Amino acid sequence: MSVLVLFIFLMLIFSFVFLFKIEKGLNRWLGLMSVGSFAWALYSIFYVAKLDRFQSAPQKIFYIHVPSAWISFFAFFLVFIFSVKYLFSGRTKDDLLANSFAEVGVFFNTLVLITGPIWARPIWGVWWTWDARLTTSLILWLLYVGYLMLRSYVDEFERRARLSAILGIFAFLNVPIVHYSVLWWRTLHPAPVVIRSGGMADLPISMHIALWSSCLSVLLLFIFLVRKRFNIGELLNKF
Amino acid sequence: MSYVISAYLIFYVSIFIFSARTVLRCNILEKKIKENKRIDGISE
Repeated sequence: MSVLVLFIFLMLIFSFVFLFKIEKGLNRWLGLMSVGSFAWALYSIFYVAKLDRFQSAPQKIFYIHVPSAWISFFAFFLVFIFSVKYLFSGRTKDDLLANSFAEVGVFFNTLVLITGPIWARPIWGVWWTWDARLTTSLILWLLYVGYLMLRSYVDEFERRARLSAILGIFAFLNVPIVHYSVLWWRTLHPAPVVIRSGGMADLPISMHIALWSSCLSVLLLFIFLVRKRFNIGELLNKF
Repeated sequence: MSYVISAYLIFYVSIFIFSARTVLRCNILEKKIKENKRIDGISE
């Protein structure tokens, strides 16, 4: 385990130097803060958070799986907001923002779909099962991959922006279904364990520290990536 | 334990590759646009 942590720390140090050299202004500070918070999150996950009594080591996957899922839902919510905004305003900026949120959201959602089965195998005994949460999550991923494919296939700007805005609005309807699937149907996937309708769950404080540190690092990375992806969109429009 | 190692390796390496790709793509585009502007300036 310490070899893994050391390897990731080395990767983070390399990223820190790389970002410091290549980035400027706010992006540099966002990137550096993100790398720093990832280092702290990694430390808190492996050296602060207690080992779960029932699941033991595989429970550590929780600290990367859950923040990735939350940030992808947040990204898809923002795709929805900016798609609606685009349909009303017709501004290029809104379309570019929706695209940036979708691309970064799909990236994090892909990580959810990869880390989920790796966690499921030692706990459930299977990599994948067609239960409500897993199936709706896969549909969600396919919808937003479809969104990105649509954007790459349609060349005409206005048509592409309008069609993808409509798809961005309809695709978001699946997000509440994914969230409530564990409550509406009987699933192998557990019900929400961090935030419940009655407030915060009874997790040990050390687990809360690790989880929220990981959430902060993922959020900072998300902001950084969306800003960069938005810059790319603006630059491509200049060509 | 191997499941945890696999999950964390995939998570961090994917983030590293995706971020590096995004940053480099942005910087290459910026350079290309600067270059195009410089060439336009010379031709005028």
